[in-house]
Amino acid sequence: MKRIHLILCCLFMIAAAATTFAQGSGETLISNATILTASHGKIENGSILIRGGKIVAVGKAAEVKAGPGAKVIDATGMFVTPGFVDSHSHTALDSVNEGSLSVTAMVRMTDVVDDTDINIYRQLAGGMTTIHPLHGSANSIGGQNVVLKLKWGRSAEELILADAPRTIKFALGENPKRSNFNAPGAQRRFPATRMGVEETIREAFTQGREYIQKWDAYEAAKKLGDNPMPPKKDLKLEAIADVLKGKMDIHSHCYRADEILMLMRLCEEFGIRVHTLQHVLEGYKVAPEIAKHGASASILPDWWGYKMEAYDAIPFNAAVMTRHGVVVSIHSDSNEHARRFYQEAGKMMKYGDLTEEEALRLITLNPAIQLRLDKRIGSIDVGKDADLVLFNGHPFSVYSRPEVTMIEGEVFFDRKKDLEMRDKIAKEKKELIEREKKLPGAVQPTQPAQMIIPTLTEDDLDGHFHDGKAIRKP
Amino acid sequence: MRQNKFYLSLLCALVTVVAALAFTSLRPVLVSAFDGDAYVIKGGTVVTVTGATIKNGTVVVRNGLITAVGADIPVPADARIIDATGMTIYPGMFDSYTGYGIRPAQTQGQGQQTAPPGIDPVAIFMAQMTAAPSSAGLLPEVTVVDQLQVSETTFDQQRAAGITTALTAPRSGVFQGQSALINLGSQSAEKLILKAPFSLNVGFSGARGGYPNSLMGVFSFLRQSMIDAQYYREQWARYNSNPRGMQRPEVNKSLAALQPVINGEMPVIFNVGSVREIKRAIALAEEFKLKYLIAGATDSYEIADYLKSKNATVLLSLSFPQKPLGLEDPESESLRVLRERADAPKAAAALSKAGVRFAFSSGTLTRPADYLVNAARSIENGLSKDEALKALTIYPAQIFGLGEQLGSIEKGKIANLVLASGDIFDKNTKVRHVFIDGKLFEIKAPTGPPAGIPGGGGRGPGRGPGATPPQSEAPAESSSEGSAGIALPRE
Amino acid sequence: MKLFKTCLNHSLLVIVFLLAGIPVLAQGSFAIRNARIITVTNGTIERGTIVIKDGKITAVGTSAAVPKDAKVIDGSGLSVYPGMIDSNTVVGLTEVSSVPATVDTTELGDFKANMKALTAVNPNSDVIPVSRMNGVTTVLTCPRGGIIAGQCALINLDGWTPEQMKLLAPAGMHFTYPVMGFGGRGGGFGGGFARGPNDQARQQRDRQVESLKNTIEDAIAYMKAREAAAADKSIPARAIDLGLDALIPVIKGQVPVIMSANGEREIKAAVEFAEKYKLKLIINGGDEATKVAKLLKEKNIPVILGSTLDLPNAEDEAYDIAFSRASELQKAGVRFAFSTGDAAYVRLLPYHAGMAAAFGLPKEEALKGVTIYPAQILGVDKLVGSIEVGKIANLVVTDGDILELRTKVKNMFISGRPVDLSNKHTKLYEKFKDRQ
Repeated sequence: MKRIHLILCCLFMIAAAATTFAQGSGETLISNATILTASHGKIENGSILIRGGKIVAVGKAAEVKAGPGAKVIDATGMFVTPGFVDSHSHTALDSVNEGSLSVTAMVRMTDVVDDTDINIYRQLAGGMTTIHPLHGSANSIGGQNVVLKLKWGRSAEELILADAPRTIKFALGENPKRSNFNAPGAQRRFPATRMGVEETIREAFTQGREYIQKWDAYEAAKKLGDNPMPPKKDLKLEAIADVLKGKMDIHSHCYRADEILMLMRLCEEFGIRVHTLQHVLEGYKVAPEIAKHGASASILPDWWGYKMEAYDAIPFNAAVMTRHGVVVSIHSDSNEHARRFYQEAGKMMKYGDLTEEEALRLITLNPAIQLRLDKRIGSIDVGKDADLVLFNGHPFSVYSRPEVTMIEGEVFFDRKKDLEMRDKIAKEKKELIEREKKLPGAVQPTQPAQMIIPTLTEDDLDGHFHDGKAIRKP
Repeated sequence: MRQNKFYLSLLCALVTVVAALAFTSLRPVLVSAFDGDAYVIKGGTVVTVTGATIKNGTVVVRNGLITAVGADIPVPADARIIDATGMTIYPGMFDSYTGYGIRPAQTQGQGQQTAPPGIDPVAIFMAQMTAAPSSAGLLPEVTVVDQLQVSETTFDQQRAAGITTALTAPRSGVFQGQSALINLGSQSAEKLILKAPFSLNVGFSGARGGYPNSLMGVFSFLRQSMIDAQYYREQWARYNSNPRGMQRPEVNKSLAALQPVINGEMPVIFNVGSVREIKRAIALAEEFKLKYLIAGATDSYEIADYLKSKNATVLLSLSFPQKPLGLEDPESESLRVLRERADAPKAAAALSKAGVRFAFSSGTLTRPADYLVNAARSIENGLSKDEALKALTIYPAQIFGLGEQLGSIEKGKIANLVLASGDIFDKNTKVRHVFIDGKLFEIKAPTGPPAGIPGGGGRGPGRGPGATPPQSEAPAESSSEGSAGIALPRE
Repeated sequence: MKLFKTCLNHSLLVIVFLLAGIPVLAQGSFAIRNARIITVTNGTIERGTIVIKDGKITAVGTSAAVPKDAKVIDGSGLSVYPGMIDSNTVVGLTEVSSVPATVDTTELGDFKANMKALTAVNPNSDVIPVSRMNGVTTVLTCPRGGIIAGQCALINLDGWTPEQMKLLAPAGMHFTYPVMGFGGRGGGFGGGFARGPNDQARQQRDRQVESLKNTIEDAIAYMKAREAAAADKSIPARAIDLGLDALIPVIKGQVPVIMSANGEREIKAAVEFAEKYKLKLIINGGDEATKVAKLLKEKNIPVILGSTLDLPNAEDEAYDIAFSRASELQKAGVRFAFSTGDAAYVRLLPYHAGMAAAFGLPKEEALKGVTIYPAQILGVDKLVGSIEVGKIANLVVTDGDILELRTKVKNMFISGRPVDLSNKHTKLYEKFKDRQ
């Protein structure tokens, strides 16, 4: 009975929420919830005040007062967490890998954001609000990544966080050396070993350094009043130069301890730092070195065994590195896992005894730090974006689910509305199918136009299905 | 020293050629091709498009041009008389983006973007992965003119459908080639050309061996190409102004071909379909200050106001997305796809309403006979008949800079005319005669089975004779011009 | 009446099979005292005792007597569950999925009824102890690929040899009902590019369906010929065909057909197919089983659900379609069990069930979906699936709700033997966690 009451209560609140948040401005008060701040612990019977898309107050319900006319959402019995941040995603992209060359630093994922990807919505339904869609791992140096807020229904320009610090994808190990993917008859591509991967990157860094020198020389000559011909602008080397100047953060796909060390040492040789190690499944083996180098780690929580370099992966990885002082996040790398990020974090409490807040930070504050966006997102603190998730129970309970997800104070997922929408979709679909049946055959065959030919995916490279359809389908 | 001088003059010559190329691209090639006969078309309703429609009007054609139009025109003694009583006379129709008349051998091998029906995309993917890197599809200097191949019968079907002028270009690769505007007559290709090159055509297909083989790679490639072209311009400008003591820049055909493009003299036609492709194209054009047109754009109904705000010109495809024929379960199609099919015919009306400059093109349609059938569908979906006609005649003529020569029935214009049995948008209307460059083409009675017969896969009636019989099944994913969009209502 | 007789015959046969299949049971006595006992079939005992003797549960209750020689575990603050059963896996058949040398799931060819999963189960696979980590004690491991993939084995996740692990083999014959685009990498290159539903694909599908029917007809004819020759020496014996021979218990209804079928069309066709040849059918996958729930209920056909954690198959499908599938089936009265369909990720089984509970399935039903329901569906509910006297002692001792994310497994018994809970992952953790 109590349960039913709670559900009814929730539904009512969501209905209220739906109308309230729609405006996006004005004041909104989420009251009487259990708030998991991710930065300063848990607040029972807490309230959050939102104005202009930002959190303007958070604290005990008694202490947080809304102005007159504020919309109030009674969140009694509910849990509120920061919106989740996925530091390694391939969602909302029309293409993932420029798989041709070993260094493709010039390509930019901002060019291929697919704002119609249904996975945006599915992930919102799991509380995800910010993602970091990366170039794939087909090459030692891949492309420039993008950060998106999952504002479903908006255009790509509105999704892209244009002022987010720039990041670039590197990849080590089996994927850039193409261990698990070979089209029959295809020519092998350099590099084919971990030694070759290192030299590919060193070569790129070396070229990048020379490129910087060329431009410096040009600028110096110009200052002297000469009118020299400028060096030729090269988009690939521009990107490498920005990496070397620390203007673009390295996010490197890596698995084995040896290659993790290799990249850190190589970067040190060029006076830079690996900003974030991605996947970093054997990070636990070299946690002290990672901590000393100052890299953060964005990991796959409990993936293992799908390829040779993942054979020593352990679910305790997050705990070990956290204990060594590394800023650890977990990531989805999958349209599927990204929908239940909170469960992935919850599991981390079991594997190595992270505290509740440490576990929550794996999917909120820590990935925000890795994206250098922690001033803006990642926790429930005054001044931050009101990216929030309302759960019907503790987010780390397998029995809980998100009911409402908001970004900058605006509701982008509301389970109640979702349920209503299902009938509408079915109805419209039926109508369109019927209407088409009645059309006097005005449908002509077209040429086989530009068929969308699949390009290299992360599944292909890994020999593994990231969305979980691996061996299960016969 | 002498040698240096020799090279210098060679270079000067080369630069002149480059400049000349750029120059010709701006200027229409005057057409001198015509049929010696003079004609008088009498007794029909003359739809001039730009002026009033003339009942029982007369049109005089001589030396390939319209020499007189009106209600009471004296009949020249030497003219052959065509009794057009009961007929309606239109200016010849434009197809603003097609691949007509291009030697098939030249359109292939530029990567593997197009797949014949029934071919497994996975197989194509594998082929792509194994393909040796090549420059096919990456060369802006490739021109359609060099690939045109026209015989007496090449354009029979187009003429039978009332189409007399086309912008033709291949549609594969990134740099798909420099297009040509041609009249769809039966003379040698050189005589048909109205303007060539008109534009550099660009597509975003990354499916090829070697770099770029992804969509983002395509954008980086395009960007670097533009940057390189700018650098090339700078290098040559510096060299030409003061060659002494400066190392001679290399001559590069591709970068030379891009000069009119980066200088905003030659437009780029982006061959795109979905909303996000259109936006990406426009962003790129703005980044490099390119003159551009958007071709395809079947999803443009969603962003008509945006296109207006960008003052974009659209060569709207009438190749509407179609229901796959082999579909076992209609429910398996997403709402997004169903909506796209329902909405595509509304695009023209939306563009017209928003005030976007547009012309019709056949896009990926395989049967020219379907061109006007689908134009009529645009009318059923809210476009005024007048606008539809203009989008087939005077609008494209103006867009292509041929407003003085084509697009309406006016004295002095090229004699491209369509004599139809009635209203061109009426499904029972037949095209009887077509004039192209003043040359008369009789439209013969159909020889094959008429298109659109029941059982032909539910397709519509073909127009006029010569329409091909229904084609074999098209692949489910056949239309790229409707690949984006979403299913769920957006909040 | 006739139906009843048939059922009786079938169950008798199944029992005969089972007797042959009981795993090697451990010797010795154990008792778990003062624990919360979730029996699954007879409610929860808040503070009770379980006694294990020679591999079986010999007593359960608040006042069960503990034998003197029993090794006693204090279960204060702990819960005891029956070991969980994963109803579709490739455990033991694959080690590193992208390294072909370590993968023995998929034999060549379309019809491979004589392939036996148990043969290829590697009892020393690192995957096995990892799979136990969160309370799974028993899995159905199945060959893959083709139209008839081979014979599944129900194994306990402990034993020195496959024979010791075996609970029931063959536990089912794995079929896949042909679909369009079948035989290719459906979800492969390009991230799930579906092949066009064109004539070519449809014809190929139809040919495959035809060959499936022909194979069953062939097997029936083969069985008849063999039996006739056995009964009448004057009839020449038909040469043995191992593939058809392996289908005889399937045709006789002794071994169920575990039919992978996800679409409404395929599930319906599979039901029709099974009816026609009087096969015992279990649907595997069942993505659209909810659309044919009425039929499945009516024919009493159970469903081994594909991954609850799967993405929807189509854009228009509800985001939670896989999460709520079990709930929908349960409401419609269709029998179901959960599965991971995996090897490395069998340890996630409780979260598949838990997710279903987050989306409408009652918690106790979720638990049954990984314990007694699969036992019933696979015909081993007399042996495993609940905590009852006489059943094999597959038990899990936890510090909380077994389906919860944060719950830790403290003790495990398989066939009455205490199981070492360390595994590759815990060992590497111990080795590296405090390294300098």
